[in-house]
Amino acid sequence: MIANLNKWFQTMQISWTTLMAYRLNFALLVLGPALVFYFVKVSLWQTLYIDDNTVLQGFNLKEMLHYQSWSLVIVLLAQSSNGVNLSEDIRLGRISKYMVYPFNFWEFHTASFLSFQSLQFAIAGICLGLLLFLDILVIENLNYFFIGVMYSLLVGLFWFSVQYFTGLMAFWLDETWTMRAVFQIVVNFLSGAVIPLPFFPEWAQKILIYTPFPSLTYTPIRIFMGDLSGLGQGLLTLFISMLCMIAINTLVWKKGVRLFSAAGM
Amino acid sequence: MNTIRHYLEIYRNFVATSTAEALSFRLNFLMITIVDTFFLISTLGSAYVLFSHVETIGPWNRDQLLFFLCFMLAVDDFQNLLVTNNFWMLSSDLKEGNLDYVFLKPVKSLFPLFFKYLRIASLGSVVSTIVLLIYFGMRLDFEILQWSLLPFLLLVALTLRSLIEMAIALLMFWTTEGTGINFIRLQLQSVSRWPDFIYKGLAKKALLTLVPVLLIGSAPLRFLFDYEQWQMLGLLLVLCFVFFFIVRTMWTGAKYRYESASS
Repeated sequence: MIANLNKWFQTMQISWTTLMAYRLNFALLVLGPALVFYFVKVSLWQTLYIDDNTVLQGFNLKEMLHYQSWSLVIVLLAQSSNGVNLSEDIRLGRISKYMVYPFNFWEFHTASFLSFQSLQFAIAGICLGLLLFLDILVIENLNYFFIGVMYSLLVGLFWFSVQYFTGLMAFWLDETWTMRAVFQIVVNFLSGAVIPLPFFPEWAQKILIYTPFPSLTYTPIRIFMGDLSGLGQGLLTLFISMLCMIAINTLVWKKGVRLFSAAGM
Repeated sequence: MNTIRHYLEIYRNFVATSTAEALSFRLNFLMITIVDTFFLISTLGSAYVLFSHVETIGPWNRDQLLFFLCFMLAVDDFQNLLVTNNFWMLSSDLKEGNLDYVFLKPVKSLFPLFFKYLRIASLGSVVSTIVLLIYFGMRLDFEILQWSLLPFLLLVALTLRSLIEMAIALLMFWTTEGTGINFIRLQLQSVSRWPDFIYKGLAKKALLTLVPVLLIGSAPLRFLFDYEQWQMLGLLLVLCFVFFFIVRTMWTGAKYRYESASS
């Protein structure tokens, strides 16, 4: 058990070193998109609100800017990992080594994800500190804040399970970026990352309740803003979705690995 | 004349090779079409949702903004079809030393560097955005002059976008890892997909002059909606020449910077 934990820790350390080897590249890949996305959203909503007294769907400008700022924190905390390395391992035939190593493919990539997530946690913390310092954000309630952080980390796990799935599709697809792009586009649009859900038509809101999308952005934002009403449903949706993803990933791995032929072995 | 014919013949071969490759990986072809379709739906869907709560965004009404979005999507799609794949390939070609062969060929090296790979799968998306562009143009009751100006404006917007991104892509010769550079391009694209009037202050000034991505869509459409607003279009045309020379100068520096990874 301790020996296995040591393997996890060593893998995380290697992953930290790899991620930090190209620091500019890491910043451009992780921090850049989230900050630019935030800049565009804030600019857009500031144009939509003609003055400080305008209220749209229950949000005044200040509340909308809070909403978008929490959205930035959640994106940084939970929605930045991707399955690029994973799909490259499959496409370039590097998974052969996992067949002989005493450390599984999923263990290696989950440990790498955890190390990535710890860096993301620090980056999100710095961004949050800056937003608080600049008076753009306020923490309404410390208890709700901690619940929000824990919930976002759970979203991060779900996000990883989906990215793991898209990575595994490299057994069949030459390029897996298309699947990641589709998922990202759909989540950005339907999770409330750009437009809060109350702005959607009523029929669309009724449908979205039965999908995992609101649980990924809208629910954690509401928790951070002091509204716990969606927490129960959000947790249930995330747990069910994650269980489904674990089952699907196990099945896909079993099917995919049968197709794999290791060159030079 | 012979030189142009020679380059056209090479380009014909680029098209043929890219088409053959695209048709060999049919599932990828389908997936790219799906990505483009989802992007189109989410972009226009966002605008529809927003306009169900406001009458205007800045000075523009719903049809004007939707026309703008379709114009930008058309620029995106044409660029994806003709140039984008080369930026991604440059990143890997640099690392793997494949550029040696580009330098050895008896053509201007910039030509195969930025025009060799076409993304044929974007063809469907080009057609659908053009159809939507015409639809929203009709809703705006465009006159004959506006319709005849549209292809030219699309061409200059595409030219400036491509030149800016070529200049950014050439930065890969100075960095070890090129993926981050490609992400800068993507971020600038997402900034330029909204009209210039949503941005304010120093950021807006920088995005209209230093890295003039806001001119790509806003300058042509401001002119198309109101001929008196020609100044931004004039700036766009000037900046096309400026960025052409920037790309040429950077390319000279990049060639000196290049170290073959294969020899």
